[in-house]
Amino acid sequence: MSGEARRSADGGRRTGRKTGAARRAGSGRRPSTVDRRPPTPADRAPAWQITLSVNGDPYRVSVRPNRTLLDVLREELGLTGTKRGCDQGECGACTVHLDGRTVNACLVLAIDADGSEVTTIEGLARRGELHPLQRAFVEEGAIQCGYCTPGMILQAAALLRQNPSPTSAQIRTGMAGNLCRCTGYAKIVKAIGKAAEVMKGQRKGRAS
Amino acid sequence: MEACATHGPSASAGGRVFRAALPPFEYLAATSVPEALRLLAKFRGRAVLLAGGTDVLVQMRTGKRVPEAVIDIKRVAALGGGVKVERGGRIAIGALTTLADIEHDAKLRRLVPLLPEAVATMASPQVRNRGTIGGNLCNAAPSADTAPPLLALDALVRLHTRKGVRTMPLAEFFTGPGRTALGTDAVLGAILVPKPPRGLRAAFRKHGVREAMECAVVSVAVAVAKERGTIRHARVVLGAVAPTPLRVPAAEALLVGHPGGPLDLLAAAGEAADAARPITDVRGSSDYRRDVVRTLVRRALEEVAG
Ligand SMILES: Cc1cc2nc3c(=O)[nH]c(=O)nc-3n(C[C@H](O)[C@H](O)[C@H](O)COP(=O)(O)OP(=O)(O)OC[C@H]3O[C@@H](n4cnc5c(N)ncnc54)[C@H](O)[C@@H]3O)c2cc1C
Ligand code: FES
Ligand code: FES
Repeated sequence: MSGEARRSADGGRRTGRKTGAARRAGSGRRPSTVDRRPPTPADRAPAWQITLSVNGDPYRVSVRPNRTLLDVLREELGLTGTKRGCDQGECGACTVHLDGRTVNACLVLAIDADGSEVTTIEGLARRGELHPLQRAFVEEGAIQCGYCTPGMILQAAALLRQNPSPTSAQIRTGMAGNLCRCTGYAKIVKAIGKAAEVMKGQRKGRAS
Repeated sequence: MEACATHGPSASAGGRVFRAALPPFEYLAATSVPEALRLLAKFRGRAVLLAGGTDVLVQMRTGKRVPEAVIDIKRVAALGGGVKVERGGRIAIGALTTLADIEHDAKLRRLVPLLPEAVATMASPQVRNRGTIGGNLCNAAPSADTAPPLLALDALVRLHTRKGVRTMPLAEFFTGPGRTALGTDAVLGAILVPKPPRGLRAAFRKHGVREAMECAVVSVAVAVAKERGTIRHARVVLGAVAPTPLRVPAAEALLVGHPGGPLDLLAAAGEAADAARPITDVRGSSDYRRDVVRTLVRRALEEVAG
C-alpha cells in the first residue's frame, strides 16, 4: 500500500499525477466550485513541492497552498486511516502526530508540514503486532463504528507518553478534543487505562 | 467554535460549506519581521498572517475569511523565543509561543499561575499544541481566554510596525470584536507581564456549555493583593460579555482599602454584573450571562480575598 502510494506521490504534479487526479475525479466528493467570487491571482497559486516522512516512509508531494495535511494524507498518499469528521478542529477524528505532538490534521496546511515527521494510525502497529492501545480498544469494545478510533488512539498514545499512569479524570480531560458518537466514552476511558497498565508492564519487562 | 470568533452569530453558511476545500490563496513564508511587514503592506488588507492557524483555517473553511494571500510567520525568530524572565522580574512571552508550552511552562506556573491555569481550560490538547498566545490575542474574540488573565496581570504588548517597535497596555490593544490596534499592517511580537505585586493572588473562572472545547459564555479573572488585612491592589476582568474583554475599575474601587469581607465581595460582584454588556445568543441570554458574571466574580474573589 505505502509503496504504491509513494510512487504516485513521487510522480507529483509535474510528471504524472494520474493516480491522484483519477482518485479525486472518481470520488466526486469535492465540490467543483468553492465559492462564487471572481477569480483572483490566488487561484493560480503555484503548487509547492514538499517532503514528508510519514510512519518512517519518505514522500515527495506537490501540493497547492489550500490543501491541508488531512487532504494530502487521505487523497494523495492514500492513507485513509486518518478520518475527516468536522474539518474544523472540533472532533479529533483527524488527529495525527506531527513532529511528536498531536495536531488536528484538518487545521494544518500541508505546505506547513514540509520537512516534518508524521505518524498516523497506519504507523502504530509494529511488525504486524497491534499497539497495546489498539489491542485494548478491541478487547474492551471501545470501538463501534470505528470512525473516531484512529484519532482516539493517537491522542491516547500522546497522553500516555506525557502521563504513563493517568487517572480516569485525567484521561477524560486528555481526550476532550476527541468526539465519539457511538460508545458513550466509558469503554474508551477503560481501554486507555488498560493499555496504560500493559505498557507499564512492557517497560518493566524490558528494564529487567 | 466559529461563533467564538466574533461578538455575534457565526457566518457559516449552514451545510453548504461543509467539507468544501479551503478557498485558493497564495502562500508566503516570512522569515523576518521586516519581510512580514513588507508583505502585509503589499497585499493591503487582502492577506492574513498565519501562526498556529487554529482560528484562520476555521475562518477560511467557513467562508468568513477569503484572503488572497496567507503570510506564514511561524519561522520568524523574533516572534518566538518562548518564555523569558527579564532582569527586574518582567516576563516576556514570544507571540508564537504555543498554548501547550504556556500551559506547561515551569516559570509561568511559579510566577503567574493564573495564565497557565486559564490556558489549560482552552480548546483541546491538539488545538493547544498548535494554537499560539499571539494568535489568541490578535484574533480578538471577546471570549479569548488568554485576555482576562493577562489584563488582570496588567500585561503589555510589543508591536512591530513599519515605523518601529511600540509597546502598549493590552487594555488598549482590543478595539472591537475581531479588531485590534494592529490594523492591517502590524505584527504582535511579544506579551510582557510585569512582575506581579507582592502577595498577589489570582483566580480564573470560565463558564461554558461544556467543560472543554467550548468558548466561554462568561469568563472572569480576578487578582488581589492585601497588606495587613487590607486590599491594596485589585483587578476584576470579564471575558465574553462585551465587544472586547472588559476591565471593571468600579468593582476594583469597591475592593481597594477594604478588608475583602463577604459584603465587599458581593458589592464588587454586583458592580461587575452591571458593567457587563452581554449579548443573547444560543449559549445564553444576556440576563443569564449577567447572573453568571455576578456568581463567578463572587466565587473567584472568595478564593483570593477571603
Ligand atoms: C476546536 C477549537 C476550540 C477552541 N477553543 C478555544 C477556547 O476554549 N478559548 C479560546 O480563547 N480560543 C479557542 N479556540 C480558538 C483558537 O484556538 C485560539 O484563539 C488560538 O490561540 C489561536 O492561535 P493561532 O496561533 O492558531 O492563531 P491563527 O489562527 O494563526 O491566527 C489568529 C489571528 O491572529 C492573527 N495573528 C496570529 N499571530 C499574529 C501575530 N504575531 N501578529 C499579528 N497577528 C497575528 C492572524 O492573522 C489571525 O487573524 C479554539 C479553536 C478551535 C479550533
Ligand atoms: S476533522 Fe479535524 S478535528 Fe474534525
Ligand atoms: S465508535 Fe463510532 S464514533 Fe466512536
